[in-house]
Amino acid sequence: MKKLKLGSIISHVFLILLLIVVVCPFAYALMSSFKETREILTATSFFPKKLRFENYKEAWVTANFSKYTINSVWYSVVSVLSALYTSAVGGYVFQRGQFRGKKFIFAVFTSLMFITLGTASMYPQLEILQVLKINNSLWGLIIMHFFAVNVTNLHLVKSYLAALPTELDEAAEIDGCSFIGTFFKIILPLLKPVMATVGIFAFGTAWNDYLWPMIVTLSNENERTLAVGMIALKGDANAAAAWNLILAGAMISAIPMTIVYLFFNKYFIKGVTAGAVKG
Amino acid sequence: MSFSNTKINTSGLNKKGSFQQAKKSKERQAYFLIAPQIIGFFVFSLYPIIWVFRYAFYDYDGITEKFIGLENFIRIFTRDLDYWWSVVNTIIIAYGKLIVEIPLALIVSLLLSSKLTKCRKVFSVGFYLPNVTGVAVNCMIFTFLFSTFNGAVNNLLTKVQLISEPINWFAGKWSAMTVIIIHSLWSGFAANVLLFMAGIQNISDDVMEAASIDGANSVQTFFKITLPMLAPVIRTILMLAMVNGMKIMNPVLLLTNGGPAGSTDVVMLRIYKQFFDLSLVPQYGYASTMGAVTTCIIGILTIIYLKISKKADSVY
Amino acid sequence: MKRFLSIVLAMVMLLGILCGCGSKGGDNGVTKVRVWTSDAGGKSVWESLVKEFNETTGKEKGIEIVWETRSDFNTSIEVARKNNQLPEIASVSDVAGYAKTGDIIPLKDMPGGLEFLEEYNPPLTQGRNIIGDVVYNVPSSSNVPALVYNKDLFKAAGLVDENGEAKAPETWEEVREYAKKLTDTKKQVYGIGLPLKDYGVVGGYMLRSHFAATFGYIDKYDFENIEVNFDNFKYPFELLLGFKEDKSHFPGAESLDNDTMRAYFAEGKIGMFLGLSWDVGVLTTQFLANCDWGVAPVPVAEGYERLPNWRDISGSYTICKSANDIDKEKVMEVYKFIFSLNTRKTIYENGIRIPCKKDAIEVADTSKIPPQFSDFANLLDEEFEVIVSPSLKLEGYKWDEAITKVWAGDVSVDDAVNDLSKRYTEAFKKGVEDGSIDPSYYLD
Repeated sequence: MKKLKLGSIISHVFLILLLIVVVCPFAYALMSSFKETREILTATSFFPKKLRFENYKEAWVTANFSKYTINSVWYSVVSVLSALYTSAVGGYVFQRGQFRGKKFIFAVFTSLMFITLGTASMYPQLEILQVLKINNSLWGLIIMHFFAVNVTNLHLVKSYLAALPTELDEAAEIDGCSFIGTFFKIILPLLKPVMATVGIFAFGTAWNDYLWPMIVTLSNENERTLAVGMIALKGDANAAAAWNLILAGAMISAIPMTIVYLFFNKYFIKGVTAGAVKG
Repeated sequence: MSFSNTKINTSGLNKKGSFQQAKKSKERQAYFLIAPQIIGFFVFSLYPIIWVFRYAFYDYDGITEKFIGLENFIRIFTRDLDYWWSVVNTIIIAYGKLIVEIPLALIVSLLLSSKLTKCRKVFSVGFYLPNVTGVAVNCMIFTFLFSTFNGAVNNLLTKVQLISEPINWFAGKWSAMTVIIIHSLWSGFAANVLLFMAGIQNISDDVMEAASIDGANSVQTFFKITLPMLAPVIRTILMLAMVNGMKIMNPVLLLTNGGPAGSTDVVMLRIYKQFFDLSLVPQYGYASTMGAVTTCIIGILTIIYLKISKKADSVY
Repeated sequence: MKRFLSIVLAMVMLLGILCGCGSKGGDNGVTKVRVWTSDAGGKSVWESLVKEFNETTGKEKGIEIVWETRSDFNTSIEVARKNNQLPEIASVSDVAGYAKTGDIIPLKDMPGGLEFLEEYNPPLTQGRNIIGDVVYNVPSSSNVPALVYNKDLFKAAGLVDENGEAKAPETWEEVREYAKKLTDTKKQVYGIGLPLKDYGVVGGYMLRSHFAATFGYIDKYDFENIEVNFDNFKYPFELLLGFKEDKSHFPGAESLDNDTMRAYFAEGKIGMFLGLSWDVGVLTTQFLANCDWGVAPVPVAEGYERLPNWRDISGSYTICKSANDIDKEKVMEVYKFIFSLNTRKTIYENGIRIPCKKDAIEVADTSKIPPQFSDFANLLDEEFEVIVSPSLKLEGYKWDEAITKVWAGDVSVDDAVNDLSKRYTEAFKKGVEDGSIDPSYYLD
């Protein structure tokens, strides 16, 4: 009993120290979002001289952050749903499916991961969007992401499934369930933890995505997302960047992210429903 | 519950013909499900790859293209020392931080999953906070924290008397790399914690119970049960971390812009600059060449890793 | 009188044409003319000018200006060009490139374009406003350099003249000396601010502009022998290294960007910096300076004769090919508005940009502007010959990146200068050989 307590104390102390280190920069950003730009840049003190709520108001109203936030929300939600669907289906097909060329196709998809063309691939992809006439809206992006091969998510779901026993599938097959049916009825509910992970990543990527949303909303101001709006405030050599607005915007942007994270997080705490196949 | 390998024999229950039918139907369903990805592969992945690899043999400034054969490749392999330094830098950053990040994430995820820890939600959200503010703001904050004049880190180190003079973090290659790696760790380890936790959830409670009944203490449980069961997850996470680490760009751009004097340049940053530097005539052909060569490097490194990890697997 | 008549004529012509034309977009026959600018300075002033136009002339003629300030201008305009979504008017920087691809319209192809040119008669630069012998755009402003210094700190350090007023240095040698005297680490005050993180600004604007009065251009392009020579760079390099040695610069120069440097100047922690006219706006509106600060003519190196003060030709707007899709008369009207005397005068009065022609300075009401701004305006030298260097396909690092390398000690001053001269000359020769650069344009 004493050993348990000591272990608990050590682990708590460790976690708390780590937490402080991790949260400090965020706290600094939060404090800075209430300062004026000059104060932020000259880093005089941790606490703001006075709480400038005007930063938030200005960002929300003048800088159109209210509109951008709504756009970011629907774009991210749809992106998450799309990512959840494609990764779950993809991982399932490659792990549990049996079809010709399975290994080959998967190897080809995996090799995509190393192909780091970065900005180099932006132009050809833009050409394609132009040809398909979807280069002027966030929906174009969503379509592109839906059809794209997200190797990371595929691997995640696949390796997660690899650890699940196949008895469940076979039981379902005997009961007359089709391949697709087995997916929806049996496998999907079991994928909750990895789905939660994919969901968090997908939301984070979509929420903070700057380059592509900027490209497709160049002449379409109404669809701009929060990330695009924030970077646009950075300014150039002549006038100083409005860091006070950028930070206020970042804090506003942080709220939905945190909410989504909390939502998905509960799937980790719940745990896999052991008991589906009791020996 | 037993994890025996006996499969339930279905062939006896169906006639031979309909078994083939069932198999074909299964195939068709599989193809149907991944049809969008196959299409997407050709359109959004293969075409850009061919485009880039093609332009690697050209001199293309956005308007006129001129076929120059292997000239770009000769340039990159003989005259462009800066590119190869950036490759080295990228490898140092990508692989260096793994040494700290993976064990740290593993430990934290274990602690958070165990019953020992209270207030798990608080820790969980706290560790994730670096990812909610976005990379631009994060890097700006880090620039202030590590600033030479009145920076928080320098102030702290001076207070505990570890240093006598403020360190000029961004003036030297290694100190600047340290800042980049610290930032990478800070913002990246939460993702790996999540991945590990998902994997840990998978380990059934029954197995853990059986182990404790058999009298194993926590250390033994960890090494003999948890770790082996996490092995496939760990292997995947390591591979993802290595490949994604090689693609790092935004944090380096925002923290040091490759400075001081290009000594912390990373590969993706060099390619990006080749594309968007408007004071010179664009050289998309050469940028494509850089992309092509980088791809091969990452591919080779990953294959080496996979071969090594396969060996480790068989040993285990 | 003549001007008034020509305006009336233009309006009558416009009205006549308007009645016939159908215009694209806009409701109730109001044509939207989109303008993209990369200039974030004076955004609110431009917006109020645009609003005034939209409510008066715009309403009359059915024009609505949609004014967009884009800080990510370079990336946006490139993507817009690829995406075929260019605005009607934009502050394009790569005029030569866009002219080649036909993405912009020369003024002679615009209704009333040539008349406008004749009347406005601004200074035109080859490679920026004129490509070959075709005029594509006109400038509106000039940025003027001057040494910006903190008078309070100067007085505290004893750098004063007979009347006890702060005395600005007149030679670069004096600048280095003064910087040393001003530096007081206990008070956390430093002589000079060097924002080396923004090396593009340091090189392209600060060094280039401030040393022109001594050497002319840092990068000398010889269009007859097709050579580029960077020898003029030696002196500035050595001066920078001098500051580093004296430790008289604000610490952490490598990670100091221009905004932060100016914020610290406003706080009174920096003695002086190599300023440009656009800094006035920053120091009077964005970071209201705590201290009494002044503007002095750029120093000259000892023993050299003072040459005309540098200035650039900026604030130019170019008409893009998308104007062909709507009523070109209306686009021209917006164009004329941007460069009208009233607009340029207002921009000057609000302390945003110094006009490139003195006519706007003369009619302006100087009581509205911060005194330092008129100080900058008085340093405008219309005699300075602006040369825009041709774009090159360069291999290796650029000359402004060289600043960071020399500062870090990675390469010696002589090696850097020789290497730059060599590589730029090679790229220059290549450009002339494959026909992308025509030196004859620059030789008249």
